[in-house]
Amino acid sequence: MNRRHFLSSSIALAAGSSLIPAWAQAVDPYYVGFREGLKKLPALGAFANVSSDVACSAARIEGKIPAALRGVLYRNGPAQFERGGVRHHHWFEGDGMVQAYRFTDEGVNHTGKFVRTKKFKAEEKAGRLGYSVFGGRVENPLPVTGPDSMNAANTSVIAINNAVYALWEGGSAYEVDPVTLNTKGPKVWAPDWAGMPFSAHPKVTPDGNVWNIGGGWNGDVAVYHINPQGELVNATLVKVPPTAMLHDFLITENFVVLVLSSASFDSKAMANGEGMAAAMKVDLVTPMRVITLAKNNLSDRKEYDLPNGFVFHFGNAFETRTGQIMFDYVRFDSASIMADNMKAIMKGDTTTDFRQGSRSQAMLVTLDPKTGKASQTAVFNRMVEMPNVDPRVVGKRHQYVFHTSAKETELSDRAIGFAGISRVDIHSGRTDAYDYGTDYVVEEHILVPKPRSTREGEGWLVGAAYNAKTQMTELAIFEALALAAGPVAKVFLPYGLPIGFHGHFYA
Amino acid sequence: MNATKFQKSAFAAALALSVFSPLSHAAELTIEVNNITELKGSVMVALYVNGETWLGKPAQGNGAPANAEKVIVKFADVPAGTYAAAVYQDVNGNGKMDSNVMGIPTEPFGFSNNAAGRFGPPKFDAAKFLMADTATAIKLDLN
Repeated sequence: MNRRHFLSSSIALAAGSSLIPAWAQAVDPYYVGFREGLKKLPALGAFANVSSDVACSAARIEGKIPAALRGVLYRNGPAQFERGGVRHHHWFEGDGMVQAYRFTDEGVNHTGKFVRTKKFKAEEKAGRLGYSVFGGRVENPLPVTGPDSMNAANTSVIAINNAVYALWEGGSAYEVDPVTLNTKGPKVWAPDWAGMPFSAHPKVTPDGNVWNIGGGWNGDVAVYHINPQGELVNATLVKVPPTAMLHDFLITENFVVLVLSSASFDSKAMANGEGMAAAMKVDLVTPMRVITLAKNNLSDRKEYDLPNGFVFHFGNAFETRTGQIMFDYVRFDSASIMADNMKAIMKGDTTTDFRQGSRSQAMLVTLDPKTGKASQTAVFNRMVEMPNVDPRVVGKRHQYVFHTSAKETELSDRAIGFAGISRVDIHSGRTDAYDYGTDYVVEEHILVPKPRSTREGEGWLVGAAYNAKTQMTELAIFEALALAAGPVAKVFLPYGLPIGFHGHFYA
Repeated sequence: MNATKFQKSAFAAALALSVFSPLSHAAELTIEVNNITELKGSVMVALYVNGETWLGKPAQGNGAPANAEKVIVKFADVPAGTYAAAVYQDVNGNGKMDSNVMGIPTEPFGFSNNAAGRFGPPKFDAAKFLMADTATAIKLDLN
């Protein structure tokens, strides 16, 4: 190369570098890795970044939406994972986008709006990520004044007496407008309970009373009772052994049931900057602790031991005629789904065997207060998650649990998430299932009771799935007692959104 | 005497005075508190002189109405030395910084240097600043 060529090419290089957008100059391995991974595995699109609100006034429909299916399906999930060319290391870190699918006589419209949390606004202003809870420290973290500094409001959404709340696990519920989905602000149930953790799995009894928990990591669990009018009846702190993650819980007619995984935080790892996910250790010795609290006197408690395990989600609990408490849950052997699978998904690492961390099983537990013993059996042999029951049976004897599930016992090779849904009879193990096919990653499906029906399960199962082939989101409606027959209707959004966590339907 | 020599000797004299003189010089301290989002109640500032008294017994305290996004709180006579400031906004005017049942503050607060702690308040050293024997001004943000 002669000197002249050398000069002109280096000038071109220098000029070119300033034309390359900031993200392409970034060296964040998660940001770059995810884009590389997406080329090899399009299903990773179910975890792609969204950076603006979305809306669609009339979604394309295939099949016929049942005439009696009218109302709003509210959903929530992490959707903004990246800022300034940097990508979060954990799925749970993304900013929550509340979505509303509205079923009207004119068709189905859809809105998705980010919850403008304190975190969202601070990071938006800074133009970069400023907080991390699960994935390890970010560079130059923004100031933290309490758990709400990091509140991503990304885990579920619930309506109580026409007030809609976006829920997280470690801090306040964020109220959003039921129609516009605009953010109103953190909900204060009582002045001295401001900023307290209000978890993402409130249980609503068929008569409209709401029970919820919060916290647990420092040995204090908040237990909330909210009446159907949305007013706080009672909030109490209950002592438990410090636990790594108390994500969900159960109620029966008379009891609140807490189940503590065999998991603890490695405080040394946390101090070294590891995120909560990597610092979470599940051992094979510590039993899972079950604590029942009488609803009318929370200090009236009984404790049981279950074999070791890790749990995010429960289906439902009820009391038997003989005074036992039964409940179902999804059990994992380890918390590797938190530390390994989610890291791989965020980094676009397609060499990970996702089956390893996803190995889960639905279990049915019986607590016998007379003997103080807990026993459990497997409900069926299929990897599942996201249990959901008919809202009419919450706290009462139930027969069916709806899950997202693997087609066979295990996830298929290279699948990063479930492509199927199933309904299982927890007493007989009989299963009714539907498989979307390998192009899909499905999210939680919700049972919507048919008006005027009384039979458990008589309703529609409604849920979204990410289609990796079209890179778009589809919502399907099933006859809930005939899943194998396939969807009766499908709603096609003109955009793809990351799969979300939880939601509720309101007629 | 050239300017540099003059400055050096003045500095040395000031240092000598601050170390040896029993009459330490006092001057005005101006604290600019920014990022007030709720224009209600008062901004309360406490000054501390060392790690032992930090967030316990303040050396001086003062306040101003929280009536703008930026509020100035002045201390007329602050002896030269090392200080750290803790600030909170008494939104409801009950005379204390409110916290929830787990002890997490529920009213806005901040520290000099915008020092921040991890799982708790920052250390005195992270928040300390030097008060000169002439008028001094610092800025901080409420969280």
